[in-house]
Order: sequence, then C-alpha cells, then structure tokens
Amino acid sequence: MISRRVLLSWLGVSAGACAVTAGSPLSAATGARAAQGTRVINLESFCIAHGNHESRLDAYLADTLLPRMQELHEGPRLCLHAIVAPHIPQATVLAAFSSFDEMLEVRSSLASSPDVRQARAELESARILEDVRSQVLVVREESLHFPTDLNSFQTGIFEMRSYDAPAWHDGVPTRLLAVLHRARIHPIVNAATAAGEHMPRFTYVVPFASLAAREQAWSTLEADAEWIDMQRESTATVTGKSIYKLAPYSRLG
Amino acid sequence: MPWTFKIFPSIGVARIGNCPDDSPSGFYVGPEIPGSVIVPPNGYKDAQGRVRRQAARFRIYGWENGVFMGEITSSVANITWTVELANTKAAFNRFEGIGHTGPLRNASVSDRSSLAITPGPRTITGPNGTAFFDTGHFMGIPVPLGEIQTDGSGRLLVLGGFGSSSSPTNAPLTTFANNDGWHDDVSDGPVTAAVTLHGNQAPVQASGAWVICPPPRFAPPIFHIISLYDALLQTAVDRLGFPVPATPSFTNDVYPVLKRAIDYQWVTTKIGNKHDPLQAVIPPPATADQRNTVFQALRDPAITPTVDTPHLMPAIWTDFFRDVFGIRGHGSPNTGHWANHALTPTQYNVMKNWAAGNFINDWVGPPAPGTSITPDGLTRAALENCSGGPFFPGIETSFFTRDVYPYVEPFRLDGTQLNAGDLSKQQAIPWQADFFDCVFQSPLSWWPAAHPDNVFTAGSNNYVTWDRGMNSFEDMVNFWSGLGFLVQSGDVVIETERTL
Repeated sequence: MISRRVLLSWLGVSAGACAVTAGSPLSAATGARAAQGTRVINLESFCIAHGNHESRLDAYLADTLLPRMQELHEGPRLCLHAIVAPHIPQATVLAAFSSFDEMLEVRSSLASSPDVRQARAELESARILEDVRSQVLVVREESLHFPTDLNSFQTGIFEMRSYDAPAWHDGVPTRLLAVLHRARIHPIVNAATAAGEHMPRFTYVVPFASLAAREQAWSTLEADAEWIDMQRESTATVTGKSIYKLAPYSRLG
Repeated sequence: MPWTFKIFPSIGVARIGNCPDDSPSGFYVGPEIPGSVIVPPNGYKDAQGRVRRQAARFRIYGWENGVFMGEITSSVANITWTVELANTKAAFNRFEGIGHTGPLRNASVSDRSSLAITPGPRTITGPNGTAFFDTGHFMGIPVPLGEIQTDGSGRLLVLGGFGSSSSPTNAPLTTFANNDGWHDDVSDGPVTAAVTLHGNQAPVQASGAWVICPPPRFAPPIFHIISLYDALLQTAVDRLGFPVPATPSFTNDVYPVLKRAIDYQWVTTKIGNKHDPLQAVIPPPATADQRNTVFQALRDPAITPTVDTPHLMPAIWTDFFRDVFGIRGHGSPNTGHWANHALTPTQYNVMKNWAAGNFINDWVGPPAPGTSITPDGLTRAALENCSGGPFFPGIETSFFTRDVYPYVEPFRLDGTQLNAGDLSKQQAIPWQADFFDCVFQSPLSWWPAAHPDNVFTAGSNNYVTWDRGMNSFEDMVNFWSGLGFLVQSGDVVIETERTL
C-alpha cells in the first residue's frame, strides 16, 4: 500500500512542508482519516506528448482505468479534456474520496491491477504521455457539488481556476460563495490544495453553459463591489486557469 | 475579461523543396522544440529523389487578463489566418555588402512591378483549409510561391516554393548575388490571425508573426555557431533592453557554443585536432587555464569587423567581406589574413564569464531536447536552425532583419512597418548562385552548417566534398535537389539521400 509520505512525495513536497492551519479543511483531511464533513479529491492530469495520441489515452482511460476505478470505488468522478490549457492535449480525472486512506487504497489497488499496469506500460513504451501531474485537493462536503446528471453538461465547459490567497490561511470566507453565485458562478468544487507551492491555494471547478457565459460571469464578478473589496483584502491572485470539456466517456462513479 | 492573442513562432521557417506533394506525408513540419532535429520518417526526399518541403506550423496562444491560458485552437475559437508571401528580390537593389547601397537590380526594366512576384494575401477560416500562392508572375511568367493549409485543429501550415529558378530572358548567371533577368521562388511575408472565441461577436487580432521560406536545410544535426536566434537575441538586448542572465549556465549557455564548434568537424576538414581544447573543458568545471585557452581563441566582437585577427575563432568570414576582399589578400589562398565574424556580444560575454569561473555548473550530461511545445520554444526552434551570420548576404534572411527592421518585442517584427518580401529581398538572386559560391574560401568558411564543405559518407573515414559534381552556378540551379542530407548515425554524422 502506498503510504501518505510516498503520496506527498509524488506531489513534490515533504509531509512537513504541508502548510496546515488548525481548524482548516486542510488540517482535517491531512489526518489519516478526513474529518467529518470533508472530502479528498485526487486530480490527475495526463499530458499527452505532441502528436496525435489522444485516442490512445482515451482508450486507456475509458476502457481500463475508469472501469477499474468503478469496481474499486463508488465515489464521484469526472473526466475532462482540456481545450485551453498550458499543455494540450490533456485529460484530467477528478475523483472524490472520503479520506486520504481511501484514496491511497484505491490508488494502490489501481497500481497493482494487472490490466492497468499493462495498459500504462503500453502508453509509456509508446511515449504517449509526456507528463502526469497529480494534485490532492481538500474540500468541505458542502463545497462539493459533483453533478448527478452529466447530460446537462455535455455541451458546456468546465473551468478549473486556482487562486493564491495568502490572507485566506483560515480558508475561504463563507460570504464568497454568495458573491460568486450573484455572478452566476456555481462551483462544483471549491477546494483547498493539500500540498505544493503557493500555499494556501484554492481551486475551483466551475461549469458554464458556454465560453460566452463564462466571460459574462467573470466580467460580472470583476465589477461586483463586494468581490473587489474581498480581492483587495485577500490579495488573491489567479495562479492558473484552464478550460475543459467533459470527456465523452465521463460518468459519475 | 480582455483576451490577448499572439502567434508563435514569431518568425517561422518554411523551407522550399521540389516535391510538390502537399499531403501530410508529402512534407514535414520543421523543428518545434529547441535542440530537436527533425528526420522525416519517410526521408527528406520522395521516391523520385525530390526534396520534401519543410512546413512552418503556426499556433495561437492566449492570455486572459495577463494570465497565460495556453494554445487556442478551433475547439474554442473561430480562427481566420491571413498570410502574404512575396519575392521582390529582382525589384530591389543589388547586394554590395553591409553599408553599401547598390543600384537597382534589373535597372533597365521600367515596369518594376513585373519584377516582383506578389500573389497577394491568402486567407483561410477554420480547420482543414487550403489556399495557394499561385498568381504571382516574374516578367510575365507564373511563379508559384507555395500554399497555406490549416490542420484539423485550425493551426496554420505554410509551405514554400519549389526551388524553381529561371531566366525568362535566358540571361547568364554571372555573379553570386545579383543576376539580372533571373528569379527564384523563395519568399517571405506577414502572418496574421483574427480570433473569435466561441460565443463572442468581435474578433480579436492576434499579435502577428512572419514567415520566411528559404532554401532547404541540408545539415539538420549541425547548428550554426551563430544562429539567427543568437543574432536576434542580441538585437533584443541592444534595442529592447532584453535582459540576459548575469551568470551563465554551463549547460544552457556555454555548452551549446562548444558543441556547435565541435560539430563543425562533420562539415569541414579544417577542424582536425584544433578543437581538442573544447573537448577538454567538458565536463565542467575544467581548469582555469583550460577555460582561458578556449576563451582566448575567440575574437572579441568589439573589434572593428574589418580588422584582422589571425587564427581567432570562429573561422568564418566577416559580414564586411566586401570591405576586405582583395585587400591584404583576403579571399585568396594562404595569405594568412583573417577578418572573421565574431560571436555575438552576448555569446562572447557568456564565454568570458565562464572562463573567469563565473558560471553555474549545472552539468548532468549533454542536455536532451525538451519534450514540451511552448510559445517561446517554437520561436527558438525555428530561429536556431538558421544562420545568424555572416550576412553576405546570408542564406535565410539578411542583415536588415538583424540591424534595421523594427521589433515590437523580442523576436517579433513590427509587421505594420514591413512589406511581404522584405526579409528576402536582399538575398542573392537566384539563391543557388550564392549557395554554390559560399564554400570554404581560404582561409575561412562561410556557413558550413548551411552548405557543408566536406562530409563523411556511410562507412567511410575519409572526407568527401559535399557538393561534388557541382561545377557552376547553373549546376546548382539544375541539380541542387540531388545534394545529400546529413543525419546523425550513432556517434557520427553522415551524408544520406544523395541522388546526384
């Protein structure tokens, strides 16, 4: 089984480097078991080497990895294709777990699954993958709204946006959600990053009906007086944003 | 939520070839990752021995509120590309060297427009489109300059001309650079794009790029000691204040200079064991004496270009050849006079810092090319495969690009102040004449990474002349596509696909 220490080392940090504030969702979830009311999200991005290999990766995800995950774990998951991101082609799998232990158990089982191992080895020998990037996010139960019906998202887009917000070391202010909703921004994930650079960092996954709806929503937010105040107080800066479409084979767990 | 878009590479390179096949298997896309060498899976030539064209692929990258978002493709935007190619060499001035404005080429032709091959701009909207530059003429005869395509993601591909040079007046070829009555089909011009994100009404104009369509690159594994990337980096430093690191990296800054010089052994007989001191300083740090031995062999770029610096490096001719040729025996065999081209000041400072021990020893072995396509990497990969000097007048572009033309940012020309054809108009006409002439000219070489002087063939330890069998300008015009391409074969570089 993969230990928590090994997992964090995959993420490029030592366990001690994890900036955790008591009482934050982060501190609750970095325990072996997540505290009541928090979930752990494993976000894994598969960056494809240049070339036309998307179909090979899709086959790996749709025919091998996701079905095996489905057998091991019933938690919700999403599979997304990047359409605007620093690296394309890219597919990203988000999977929510009740705790770190559960996530590690599933990952460990996947890693030892013969069919997953074989399919992954084939990808690697064909040099399909340029990089696989993992992040672990920690989210309060009430901030996780994975859709139950993905059909309504087939034509829309998803944005993943991260903020570096030094002043929000105790977590995102609760009034933020109301401000976002006013601008028609309804995150399905509103999470703290468990480890890495620029801590604390907050990641949102937001569905929009279209690129135009996205533009309109963020423009509305930028003009919102309360958001302007919050941004000034928090010194929050965007550290990354990418836009995705739902992968055709994505489904809920 | 303002978006800005830029086209990369900011200067792209599409090389001509006489294989007309414009299907994806008929051409290949040029390097897109710095340090990479493209070897087409089906060869540089087709089954009939015709040289495949090297396409330049252009991509659009987007920033939203200053945050880098990534590449913009047709999955999120309607993209309208516009490209104009032109060849205005015959209507421009004769090349007589930097600092000398020659009289007009074809001065007796009063209809100057008949000398410029200007098919005009072509536009494609969306993926999987094609448009041809097939309406240009020279003295009344049609001269196609190539085509543009878009791929399935809406990226732009530019394919240049076919290496066809001729004289409608049957004029003789008499000089390396200025042959009246002649045309070729190299070209250059602006690349622009209008981007409309899906759901938006108004298109946004992307920051424009430029494409040059020069002759083939016959020695892809051999990099110029001074590449066009180095030359235009210096332009950015001098004119735009572009910062370079105060402390050079051995791996990224010093090693490439050493490696390129060492690799010239594959394209000239003149190296012998003279570059052994370069081998001796790898891996770093080497001794201060060893580093100084290398550095002291370099010509200081602050020295006036026409001043002799016998036996200093690099052993390639000065841009100002016209001002030294015939004087003190320059250009004649075995005179010992040596007015050579220096590294750029930035390259020279890198070597100076290294010699003084002021460098980052980050050596873990020869660096492999990266694996990611990045905006800046696209530009670097395109330009590092071109000659950055000597420009007499140069093979891909001229000293105008380095010294005269305006830039809006490093490596990005101000297209509003330039016309299609400007980057190639001062080049030799036809290019084959200069290409034939620019071989080793005692005691120095011209650009052996573009026109190898001497090469090895498979299984042989003896040099042969690369352009063996070529005895005249006319031979080069007629038979250039028979010349061999150089490829890495294990530890050596050998000639392949020669069809002469």
